[in-house]
Amino acid sequence: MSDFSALIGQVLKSSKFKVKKKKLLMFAESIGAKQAQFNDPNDPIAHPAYANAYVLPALMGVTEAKNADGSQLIKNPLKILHGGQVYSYPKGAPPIKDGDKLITTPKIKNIEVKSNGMMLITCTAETKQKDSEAVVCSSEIGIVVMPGGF
Amino acid sequence: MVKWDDIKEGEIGTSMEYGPLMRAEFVDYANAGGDTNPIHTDEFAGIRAGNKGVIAHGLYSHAFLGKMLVDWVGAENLKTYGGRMTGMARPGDMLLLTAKVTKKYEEGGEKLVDLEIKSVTKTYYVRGMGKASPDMSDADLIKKLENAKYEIEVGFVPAEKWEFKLKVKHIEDVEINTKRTVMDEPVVRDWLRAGKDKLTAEIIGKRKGDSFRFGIVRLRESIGGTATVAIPE
Repeated sequence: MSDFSALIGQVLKSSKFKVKKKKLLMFAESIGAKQAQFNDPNDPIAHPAYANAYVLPALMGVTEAKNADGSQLIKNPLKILHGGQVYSYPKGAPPIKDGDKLITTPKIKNIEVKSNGMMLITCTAETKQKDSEAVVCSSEIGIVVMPGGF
Repeated sequence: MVKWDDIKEGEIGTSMEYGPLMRAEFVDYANAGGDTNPIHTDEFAGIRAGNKGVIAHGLYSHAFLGKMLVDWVGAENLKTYGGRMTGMARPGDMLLLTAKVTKKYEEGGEKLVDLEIKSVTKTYYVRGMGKASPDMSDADLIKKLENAKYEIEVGFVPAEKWEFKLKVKHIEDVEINTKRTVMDEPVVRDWLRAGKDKLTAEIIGKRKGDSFRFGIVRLRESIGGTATVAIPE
C-alpha cells in the first residue's frame, strides 16, 4: 500500500483564466440559461455553472503533483477521469465579468487507492479575482486515475 | 417565485428535463466551456479512448444541475452545488434532473435549504406506437410492454437495399404497430450492459382513445450530489 501522506496539502500550480464576454454569452446559450443578466450583449455576468470553465484548467495542475522522491504522481495523464466537482460561492462575492482575470489554486486534500485499483485524488481549489483578490468560488474536485496511470 | 412555506422536507423542490442531447450541443459546450477533448465531439476519438462513441462532457450534465438551481432561486441565492459523476450521457439521451429537499433551516439570518441533487440519464431503446383498450390502466399497459419480447432482424444484399424489421412477440390485448416503432439497434448493441441494465417502459404523452405512444428506456444515474440554496424573501 503506497503512502501518500507527504502529498496531502501539496499546493499545485495555479491556473490563470481570462474571462471573455463572447465565451460568457456562448456558455449561457449552451446550457439554455435565459436570464437577462447572463445574456446582456454588452455586459453579461457569468452563470454560476461557468465555474466549469475557469476551474477546469486547474485540473491539469494535478498532473504536476510529485511524490516525495520528486517523481510524477501521475505517469499517464490519459488515464485521468473526472470524478466530480462541487462549487461554493462566498456570500457577497463579486460577479464575474468580461475582462476579469481569475486565478485558481488547487491543493491536494486526499489520495486513496480503491480496491478496484483506481486512485481517487481529491483537491480543493480557490478561485480569486486577480485585481481585487476577492474569492469568487471555492471548489472540491474529484479526479480518478485508472490503473496503469500512476 | 419559490415560497419558503411551500418547501417541504422529503419532497422534490425543483426538477428539470433536458434533451434529447445532440452532438452539435457538445461542440457548442466544448467551445464555450473550454473542454475541447475530442472524445466529446469526434466519434472516432471516443472509440479510440475506449468508449463506444461520443459521450457528453461530465461537466455539461453538471452545468444543467446549476442551471436548474439558478432557475429556481436565482444566481445570488446559490450557495453550493455539485456531485460525483457516476455515469455517461450520449447523443439521444434525456437528462432528468431533480433536487430533493433534505433539510430546511434558518442560519445567519437566511432561510436555507439543503438538497440532494441528481442527474439521471434516460436512454431510449425502443420508441413506437400501439393500440390498447382505453379501459386498460397505464400501469397494466406498462407492465405488458415491459414483459414483451422485442427482436430486430437485419437482412441485406450488399448491392441492394438494407432491411430492418422489428418483431414484437404477441402481447395480449395490445397491438404494436411495428411499422411505426423503431428499435435503436446501435444503442442496444453498443450500450446495453446485459444483465446489469434494467429497462422500463413508459407511456409518452397522453393516450388518445385506443392509441398510445411508448418507449422502452434505461434510467441510469449520471451525477449524484448535494446543494444548498437560500430562499429569497
